[in-house]
Amino acid sequence: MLSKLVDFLQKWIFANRVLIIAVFTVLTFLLGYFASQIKLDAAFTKNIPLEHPYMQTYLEYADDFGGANNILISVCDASGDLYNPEFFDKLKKVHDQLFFISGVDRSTVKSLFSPAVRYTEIVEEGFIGGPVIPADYANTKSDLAKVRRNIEKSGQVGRLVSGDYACAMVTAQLLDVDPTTKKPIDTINFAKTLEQELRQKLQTEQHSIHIIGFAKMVGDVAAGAKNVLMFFVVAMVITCVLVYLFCHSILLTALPILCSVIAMVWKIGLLSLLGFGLDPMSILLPFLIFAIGVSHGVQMINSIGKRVASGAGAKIASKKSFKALFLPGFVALLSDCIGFITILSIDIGIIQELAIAASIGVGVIILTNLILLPLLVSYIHFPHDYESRIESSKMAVLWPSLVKITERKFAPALVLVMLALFAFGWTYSANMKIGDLHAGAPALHEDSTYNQDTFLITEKYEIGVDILSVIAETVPDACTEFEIMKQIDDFQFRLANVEGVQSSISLTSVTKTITAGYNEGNPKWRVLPKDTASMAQSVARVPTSSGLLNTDCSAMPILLFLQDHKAETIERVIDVVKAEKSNYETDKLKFKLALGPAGVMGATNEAVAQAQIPMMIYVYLAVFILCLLSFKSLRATLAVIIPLFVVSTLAQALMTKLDIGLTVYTLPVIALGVGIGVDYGIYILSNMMGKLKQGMKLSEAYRQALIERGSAVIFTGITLAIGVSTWVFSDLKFQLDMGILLTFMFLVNMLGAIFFLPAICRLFWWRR
Amino acid sequence: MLDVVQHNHYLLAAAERGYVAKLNIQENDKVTLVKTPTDAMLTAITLAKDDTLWAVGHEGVVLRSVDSGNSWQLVYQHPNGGVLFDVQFINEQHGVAIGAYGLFLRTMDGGKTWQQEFHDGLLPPEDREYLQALRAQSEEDYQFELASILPHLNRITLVEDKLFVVGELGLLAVSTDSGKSWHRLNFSYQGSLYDVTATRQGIWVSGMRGNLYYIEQQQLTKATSDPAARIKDKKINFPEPVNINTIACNQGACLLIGNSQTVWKLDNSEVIVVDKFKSKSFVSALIVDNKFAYLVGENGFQKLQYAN
Repeated sequence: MLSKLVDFLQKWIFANRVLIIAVFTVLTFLLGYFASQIKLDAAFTKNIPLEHPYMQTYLEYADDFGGANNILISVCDASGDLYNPEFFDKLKKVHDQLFFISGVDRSTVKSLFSPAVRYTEIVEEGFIGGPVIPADYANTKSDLAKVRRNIEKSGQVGRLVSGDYACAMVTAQLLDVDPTTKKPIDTINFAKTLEQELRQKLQTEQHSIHIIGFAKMVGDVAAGAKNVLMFFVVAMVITCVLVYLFCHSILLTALPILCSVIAMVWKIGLLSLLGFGLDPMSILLPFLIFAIGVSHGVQMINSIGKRVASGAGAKIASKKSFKALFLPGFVALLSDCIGFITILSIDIGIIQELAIAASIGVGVIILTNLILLPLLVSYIHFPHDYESRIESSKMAVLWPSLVKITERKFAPALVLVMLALFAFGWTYSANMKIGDLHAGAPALHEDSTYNQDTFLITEKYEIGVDILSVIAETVPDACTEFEIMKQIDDFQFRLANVEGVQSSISLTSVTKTITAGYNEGNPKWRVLPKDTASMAQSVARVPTSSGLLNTDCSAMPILLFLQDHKAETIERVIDVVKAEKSNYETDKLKFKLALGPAGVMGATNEAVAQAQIPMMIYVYLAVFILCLLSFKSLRATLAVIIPLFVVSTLAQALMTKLDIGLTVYTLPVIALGVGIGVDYGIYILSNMMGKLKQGMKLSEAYRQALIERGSAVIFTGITLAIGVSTWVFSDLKFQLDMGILLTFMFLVNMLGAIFFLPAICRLFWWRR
Repeated sequence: MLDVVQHNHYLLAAAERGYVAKLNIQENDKVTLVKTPTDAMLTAITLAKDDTLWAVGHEGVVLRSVDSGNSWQLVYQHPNGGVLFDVQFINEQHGVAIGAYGLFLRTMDGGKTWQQEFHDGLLPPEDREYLQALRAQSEEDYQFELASILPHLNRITLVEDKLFVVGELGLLAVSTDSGKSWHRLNFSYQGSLYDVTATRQGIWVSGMRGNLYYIEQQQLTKATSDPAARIKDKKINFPEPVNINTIACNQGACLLIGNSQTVWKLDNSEVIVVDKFKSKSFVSALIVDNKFAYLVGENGFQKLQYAN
């Protein structure tokens, strides 16, 4: 029935060649226009698993305690001592400049110059206090001496002033929506403004400026992503050269490339039409779509070229090739498409958008490279000597040796090799880690400015961006009740002693310090007062703007400052919270995970870990069903899927070996790899199956398949691998990781299809 | 950690949440935490002559250990709670513990039973006169008023046969009869005092906001014979206006520890900086072997090497 449908399609398409090409042309211009309108979009909420329970807590309390979208700017003096008028001048400029950048929540801009940053001093008569930098500050030596004393008394050393007194910090939080334009904040633009208005204008030899925070990181990633264009050009040139070497015809080179570019344009245009933007991650996709397009295009021109070489006219050859390749191509692309759609099961915005974008892209290839391409080729006038050129195909020398694989004495040995590889991969991949395995922003290289800034700030200050908050949810006015406060305090103490927690703060620890303050600063009074009146007296000195309590004091976060955001660090802390929180909970008190950037990462890691197995099951199930439908043979289906699974396992082993963690970036690659890897097997086996049905011997069927499609398979495997391997030179760490994995997947899946697939076929069809 | 004592090659520190931290000097300064039967903050720890360790703290707890601090027993808890700040044992059987609001406990039977005492000798003369007048009218009112008028007692120090106590509102008192009667010295500073320690020539007293005083031995003798005598004390210039929590002396060398990251030492009546740390502030210290000091405070133990 399927073949009848293909017959019908072929007749109809080739009968309306002009019309169809015209429609394609119009659509291409139309979608090209939309594609040019696409925007870069990297909203914070897209990067987090919004449905995850931690993120529900996060969203519930983000208004009270600030989100995770903050920005830290450290100004450092090269002399190593910040107490000089020039430095304070510079710090003030940075503070003011940040205040006026649109997108900053102005009420949260904090530095030594904020009036809200105060010192408190205990004297015999009680408390005295004031802003750390007094209103009449005139930046003189004597003023500086006063400020120096105030800073010591303010407890800001390690927070707004670095422990070695060489740097000072300005911090702020970002708004989600710009109050003037009512539009979401353009993170990338914001980061650019920071770079231009702060670093470029204010950084000097004497005063270095270091900026970290999610928005800055996204900005730097976006800046790095611009180089993607360069990689794209390089990959395109390489592909063109290789395709030419393969088909020896400029026109035959140009057409699949043209069709693949059209696929790319359509994909971007459709995304723009659907309201999606490009983020630093999905910017890689057009290239992948191009690569997949070329891979299928090469199959098509290979087939047409072979038919022309054997004497057919261009139109007849195209028609025949369409008929032969539409079904396997369609199945292969459909399984790619479904492979990508399975990534939707991961509840993180950017991954879901990646899934949608990738499936649209692959869907488009069905139209451009399986329909448009043969139509265009059918108009080509092949030169008379084309036959002689194609005969020079070098790969044919490989076929006799490859055919030996199907011999009964070699096949079982090869299957054993495959099983050994599988066992090796399986044991290795068991150690694959979830999440980021390195300190600093994982998207960027360790020596990038952003990561160097991160290392500087975490080293010089007691704080950093790796904060995990646990919310104590309780009854209103709980902060005056000793029993509740004590439970929170005890839990904080427990968590502060978990390995990887650098320091911690909560309302209870601040209350204890204040209580000691009410007792002349005597550390022996640093306890929670047992009576409500004393407790209220101490708590009353903590404003809600501290982010340590909400307005009615029914929620109080315990902020844990982690050493780094390696997955194991976060997991260790979260595991302790999960395992032990019930020991501290009462009827009136519950602890909830999680706020803070590290909390978000914890949730992301969990979402990724949870999605991994279901995603693999869906991908393989989809591939399995599609193969079964098209081959109508369980043996053939297994022969395609088994090598695929071995390669997936080996890829995971490779990740373990290279210290690449399973993250938002690498998880999709595993699914993409399966989707793309299956193509090779499908092209080879669909050809073989036809021959086997006609009663041909297995070895002969494999030889024919190699002659007809083998060179195209080997060629595309190598071309795609070379293309993605250029990502290794990217500024972006995740692009490098993805590049390594994709190169491996393309290459090894191709090898799997020509070595292991025929060997498995031999076991399944032993007597043929 | 709030106080530290040495026992053989161990240092034992009284800490928050009812913990005692035990540091082994011979084993690379390895620290183990020992949980005592209480959750309350422990504020002081001391070693009696019979090698019994005593610790006191918030909620009026008195703890004892007879095995170098490996296990602790709660021997007494004051019925009204209260906060204990220091403990001293005059001999194996006889000990006193002091604390907030004039809390004064005594045991004569090695800690088995503790009795609360009120000493009007710890009060300034005008308060004492007022109380005497009250006592003439009603013994009951006198006892009630005495119990509520007493200042915080911060530290009790035993020097040869004398006991010294310092506390709130410039309290510096001496007792020559094991604390049964107290003799308040007419002292020039009226803020809180945190430590008192004695050298051969005289005593050092430290308090709030960089207040550090030296009193010569002969002034002390004069004061004990004539209660009304105003003693001459010498204010020592202190570079930072922080509370000086502890004066830690050993064989003539004295370190000054306060609510600061800086550690100072006394050098012929002058205060000089020994070291500055980046960690949190310190509460107490102990000099070991005349070369090292172990500081205790917010961040636990901190070892300090200093030149004498």
